[in-house]
Formats: sequence, C-alpha cells, structure tokens
Amino acid sequence: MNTNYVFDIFSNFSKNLFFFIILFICINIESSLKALTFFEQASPSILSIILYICVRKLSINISNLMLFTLGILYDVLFAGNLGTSSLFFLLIKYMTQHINLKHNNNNNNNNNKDWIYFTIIFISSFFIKFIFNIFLNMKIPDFSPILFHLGITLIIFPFIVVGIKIIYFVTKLIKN
Amino acid sequence: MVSGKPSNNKSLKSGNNFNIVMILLCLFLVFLGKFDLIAIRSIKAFLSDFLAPVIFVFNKPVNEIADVLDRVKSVSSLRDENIRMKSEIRRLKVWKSKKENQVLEFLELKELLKVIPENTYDIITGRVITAPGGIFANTVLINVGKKDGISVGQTAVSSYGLVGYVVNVGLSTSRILLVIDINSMIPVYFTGSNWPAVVQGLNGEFLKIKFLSNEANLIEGEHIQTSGHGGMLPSGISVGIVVKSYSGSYYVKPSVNFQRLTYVSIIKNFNAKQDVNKTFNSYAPMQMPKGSIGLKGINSSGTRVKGSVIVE
Repeated sequence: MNTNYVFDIFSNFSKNLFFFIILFICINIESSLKALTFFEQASPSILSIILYICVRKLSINISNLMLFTLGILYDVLFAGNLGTSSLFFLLIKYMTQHINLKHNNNNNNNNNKDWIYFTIIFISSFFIKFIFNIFLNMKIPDFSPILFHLGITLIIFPFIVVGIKIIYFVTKLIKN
Repeated sequence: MVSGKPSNNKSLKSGNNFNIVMILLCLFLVFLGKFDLIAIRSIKAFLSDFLAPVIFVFNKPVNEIADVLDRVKSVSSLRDENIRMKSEIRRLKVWKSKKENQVLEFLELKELLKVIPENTYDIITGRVITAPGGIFANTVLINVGKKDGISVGQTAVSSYGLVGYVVNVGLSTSRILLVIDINSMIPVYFTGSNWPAVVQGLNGEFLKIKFLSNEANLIEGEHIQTSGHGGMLPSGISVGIVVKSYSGSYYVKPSVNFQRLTYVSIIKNFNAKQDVNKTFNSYAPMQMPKGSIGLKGINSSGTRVKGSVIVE
C-alpha cells in the first residue's frame, strides 16, 4: 500500500516534470522563431496550440499550478505584464475543457470542428489578455502584429495537429 | 495532476474551485506587477539571469538558420548590390572631399566659440540573447549586467543609432526597452528644421510623433536625433527618419533594424546634471531677431565686433 503510494507520487512527479519541460521547450521555440524574417512581426502561439491538443485531443489534464508557473516564465521571457499569460493559459484550459464537455455530448470524434473550436477559444482568451494589456498600459498598440499573431497561430494549428498525429501513428507502429 | 486518463466531469468540477483561485491569483499578480515593486523587479531579473543560458541555446539554431537564409538571399542579389555599391563609393568620394574642408572649418569655429567638448562616453557592449519580445512588449535581453556596471535608465545604442534604454538589470543580464515599444517615449528634434518633439513606440514597425508644434513642416526623409531634453538620454543619437503613410500622416522609421540586433552598446557614464553644473564662460551664437537689419561690425545685441573678436 505504502509502496504504491510512493510510486504514485513519483509517477505523477515525473509526468508533471516531463510535461513542464515539453511546454517550456514550446515557449523557447516560440521565442526563438522571432529571429526568422517571416515571423518578424509576431510569432505564433505554439504553447496555446499544444495546450489545446493536450487537453482536448490527448485528454491530458495539465495542472493549473504548472500553467501558472509557465505563464510567469512566459511573461519573464517576453517581458510582458506579470500574470497576464498565466491568466491566458488558464483560460485556454478552462474553455477547452468546457467546450470539450459540450462537444462530447453532441457527437463523438468530430475532428473537423477542432479548428473552429480552437479559433473560438484562442480568440476569446486572447481578447481578454488584450483588454488587460490595454488597461495596464493605457495605450492601444499597433494592430498589425496582433492580427498577424492571431492569423499565423490559426494557420499553423492544423499543421501541428497533423504533425502530432504522424508522431502518434509512428509510435503506435513501433509499439506494434 | 497530470494523468493519461481522459478528463471527466467529476475531475473538472473538483478542479473548478482551484481554477478560480488560480485566476484570482493571476489578477492579483497583474495588479501587483503594475506597482513596479523592487521585489518583483528583482525576481524578474533573477529569472532572466537564470533562463538566459537556456534561451541562448534555443535561439542559437534558429539564428543560424536565419543567417543562412539571409546569406542565400544576399547571394541572389549580389550583382545588383555590386553595381549599387560602386556608384555609392563614387558618391562618397565626392562627399568626402567636400566634407574634409567643412570639418576643418567646423573645428576652427568650435575653438573660436569655446564650445565645451562633449564627454567621451564609457561604453560597454553586450550580445543580444533574445529576439525582440512579444506582441505586447518589445524588449531584448543582453548578456551584460550589474557586475559590468549596468544600471536602470542607461542608454542602449548600436552602430546605426538609438536602440532603447535599460529597464531591468540582473547580475549578468539586462533587459532593454526598445524605442518601438508602446511604453517608450523619446524626446527628439528634427535635424532639418530643429523642431523638438517626442516619439512614441507603437509596438510595430514605426514610431508616432507627438507634441510637435503646428508650425512645423515635416519633410519626408528628414533625420531625427535625440534632443537630450529631460536629461535621461544623451543628445545627438540618431533615432530614425520621417516617413509619410498612405493616409498622409507622418511617422518615424527607426534607423536600427531591431530584428537583426546582434550587439548593443550601453552608455555607462552619461549624466546630464554633471554638464549643467560645469562653469560655463563662453556663449552660444545668438539668433538674429526677425526683421532686424544686420549692420557690419555690430552683432544682434548691439555690441561692436571687430573681425570675430568682441570689442567691449
């Protein structure tokens, strides 16, 4: 009994650590993409795509505390207002879970609607973050990088989904 | 917290309260961050210091790819570039011969007017670790910090002109707020017309011109430099050039390409107050009053002058 309990703690800890590292790498990739001329204006929000896929497609319940910590690191890395990214990630998770519930009630595995759901979730969460930033800075920023950020994230979403599916398929093949 | 099992209703309901607590914590942090407390600044600086090597490792391959792409692009336009450079060299040779005479004349006049020589700045150069920030903030992290004598408010420049100023300092890293950031406001003057103004970042490519007199007539392509008003930044650093938008309003295009920033220099010893306190026993040339008749040998204040020496 005691051994199982200790094993559970270690298992959960290792899983948490693994996901934390994966998501932290995503933040770093997002940050480094800015060096490419194509993403000069803004880089896509890779972390929100991965979060959505983790929660909705892979049914992984990512810890709120982990999202909070990642948000803080994201803000430090991008020099944003502390707390706004944590709020953004928590909102993405919260909204994804709720839309997931409604979606499961209606019909199962309707993959075509994923993009529309992500669009709704991402834009609404981003809008809240945007409002917060306007409120904190008391200035309205230039819209072109923001629109580029939204657009490029929505465009890149299906590619990441396909990429993950391929990885999943290959892993399954290797296992078999 | 992380489980491979599908999320169910029960777990969601139990997690809801915690979710709300976390959201409230985020809101509290947002407002706490707005107060700009020293403790929060220190935590940010510490985290930046701590994360700097990781960021550098992740940025390295992407930077290399970007460099390769740039080289490929430049190879394709090599011939055109060569022709352009040759004509530029010819133009510069003519300009150089004209300029040499002007420099001598300028030095003579400076000597004559006893202009206080400008301070030679103590500069430290650091490598840029991150590409310019996100969509809500435009900053870069450099690998020099407190141990190198950097402090908050110091000016950051590159070989092209003004980059920004230091907003946060860690032990071995510093964060620079770029001039294109929405929170950056730089006092400037237009080199052609001498009108002072303030340029503000828009988190985009261009800078907005603010507090400019209605009498000022802007010229497209006019250079803009820091005025030094307010004593925060040294004067005479190139900021950018005036560009006209399709709508007819004027903006400033920064002279620095922030995307290609590799090294940034920090001016360490600039202190405007030091200059003010210095004893000043010379004079600046007086401006001619409007409509006055300039008499030979008498300056605008009515003092008789003989050659270039004042006779009192």
